[in-house]
Amino acid sequence: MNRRSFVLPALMVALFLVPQLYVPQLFAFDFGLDLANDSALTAETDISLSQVNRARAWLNVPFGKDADLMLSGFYEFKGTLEFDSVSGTSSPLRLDLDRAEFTGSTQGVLGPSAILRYSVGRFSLSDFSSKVLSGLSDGARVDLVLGNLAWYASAGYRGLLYKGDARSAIDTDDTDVDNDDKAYFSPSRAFLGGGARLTELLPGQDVGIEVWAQLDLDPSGTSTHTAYLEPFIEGRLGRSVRWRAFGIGELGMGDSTFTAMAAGGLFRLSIPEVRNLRFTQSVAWASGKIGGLEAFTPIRQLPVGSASTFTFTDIVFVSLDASLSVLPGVSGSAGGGAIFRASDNQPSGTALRADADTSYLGAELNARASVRLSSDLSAGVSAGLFIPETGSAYPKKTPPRFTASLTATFTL
Amino acid sequence: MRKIIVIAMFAGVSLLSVMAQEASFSEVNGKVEYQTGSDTWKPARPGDKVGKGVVISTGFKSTAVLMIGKSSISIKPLTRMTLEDIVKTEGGTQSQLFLLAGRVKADIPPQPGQTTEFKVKSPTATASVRGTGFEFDGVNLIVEHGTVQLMTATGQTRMVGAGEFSYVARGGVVAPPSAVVVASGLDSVVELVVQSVAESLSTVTVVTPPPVQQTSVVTIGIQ
Repeated sequence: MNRRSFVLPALMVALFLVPQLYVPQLFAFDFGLDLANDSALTAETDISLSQVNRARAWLNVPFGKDADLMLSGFYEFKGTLEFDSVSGTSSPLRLDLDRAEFTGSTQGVLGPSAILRYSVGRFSLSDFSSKVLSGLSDGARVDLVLGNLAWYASAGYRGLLYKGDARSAIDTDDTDVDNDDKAYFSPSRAFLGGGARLTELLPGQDVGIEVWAQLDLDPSGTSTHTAYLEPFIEGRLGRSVRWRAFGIGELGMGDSTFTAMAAGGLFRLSIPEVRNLRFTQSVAWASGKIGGLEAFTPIRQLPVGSASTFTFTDIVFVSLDASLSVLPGVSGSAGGGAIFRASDNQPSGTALRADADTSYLGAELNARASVRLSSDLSAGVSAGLFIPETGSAYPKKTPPRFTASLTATFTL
Repeated sequence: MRKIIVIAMFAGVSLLSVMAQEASFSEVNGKVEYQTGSDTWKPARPGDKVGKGVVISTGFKSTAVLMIGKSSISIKPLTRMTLEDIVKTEGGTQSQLFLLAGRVKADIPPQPGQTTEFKVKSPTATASVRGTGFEFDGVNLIVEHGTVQLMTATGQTRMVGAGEFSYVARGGVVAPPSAVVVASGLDSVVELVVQSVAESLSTVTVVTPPPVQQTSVVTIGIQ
């Protein structure tokens, strides 16, 4: 943890105190404490058990009827126990800002009916597909709705995010930070984004386009800037089928200029009369180094699947899931998918054998269930299994990878 | 001169073809009252006829069904509304309610060769309906049959079909309609919103603002 890490606790305290200065203006504020425990078991070559305990305090302060401030911060302890080596590691108690978002809206900015909505601070932000950027960011976003056309723009900085949350994997600077146990924050990177969405251009169908840019602000090390263009379409077919499709073109400027691509689609069949039964079929592709393209490098790298260690680069993932609400407050889902590499190169996170000549990497199965025992207490259990293809991709003795986790959350 | 006379005749015919119509209570449960002009409140009874300008109020656990022609308006508990306009024309009927508080459920069956226009206005919303059945509280909409066009003050529109639910989120954005079980109507709107968020195609968990009362106007129109 470096010196910047002390800024956050001070910032949290300050942000919690600021609303007190405005007490006369407040209508009411709400606050609470969430206690969460996440115990996870991972079995591959070795078996390990990890546990994350988190206490999260939150405060919601309305400012008039059109604006409010949401603050939350947490204390977290994380420990891992390796069964085979009978060794354990633990992360020191981590204090961080979870969310600090001032949000509001105003009407009549551009015309009597136009509504401008804004958010400033630390909040969740993502592109349409969540394949370029997702999760928390520090910055600002504005949305302007004019008829069936919605405009939005955002800008932010990701250098104050915990590196494990930022999940930046753009160049070697990110790898270096990841491997540095003393580094807490993600490399210094800024982003700009904007887009437009036409609602129901055709009956039931929305279309839009987004543009994102990532600027490498770290003067030392490798300097890699990236830009993304993401057209998309989303809609429904009848009452029960929802669908979406997107494409992403990436232009990178580092030691050299490179291009990469990604695309995906999703169909969902909903049958609410049968315990909210939903089937979801999805496919996602991220380019690898092949045919003049480079490996796709988003601003935030997301895992692919739930049991494998692949990320969304040089990958094709096809999945089918089913979910339903068994009883009120009890829901479950199960699914599976097939994973392929998009090029002949080594996929992220795993090592193929030298003579591997297949694109198919393996299959994944997953299941999860969640139950809300009361308004304050909820629990969830999930399990995933990745079965590697050992015929011509992975070494013969590569074991399946099994993960299971149990999560309980209590709200005070 | 002849031209003026012809125009005047057409105008006269048009005026004659617009006639005031009355609504009648077909069901009354609990404390339901209505006020005509500056008169005192009267308890409503099945069969009572009311006209333009009448204010109707339902109490706790009290409901009423108001019939305008073959269209029915179920008035939910704790609702106050004014019957602003009821007219019958050669082409059909036009009705307009002002919903100050509460919730109404409208069933406007299509009439062969006739158009039945029905509007519900409120401080936050206006709903106009023709040949459909829906429940609306100014922010949340659930459609039983037919197809309804939901439009915000910003002009954003979405088509909401039978068995679908939609709502106006913060910023005046209409949520994409989701397939729901319509049996319980808007009685459990929180569950409907949760279900709508769950059905959204977003692949990551997002903090979705709950439906809140907007200062904007929402218009619902049938297509």
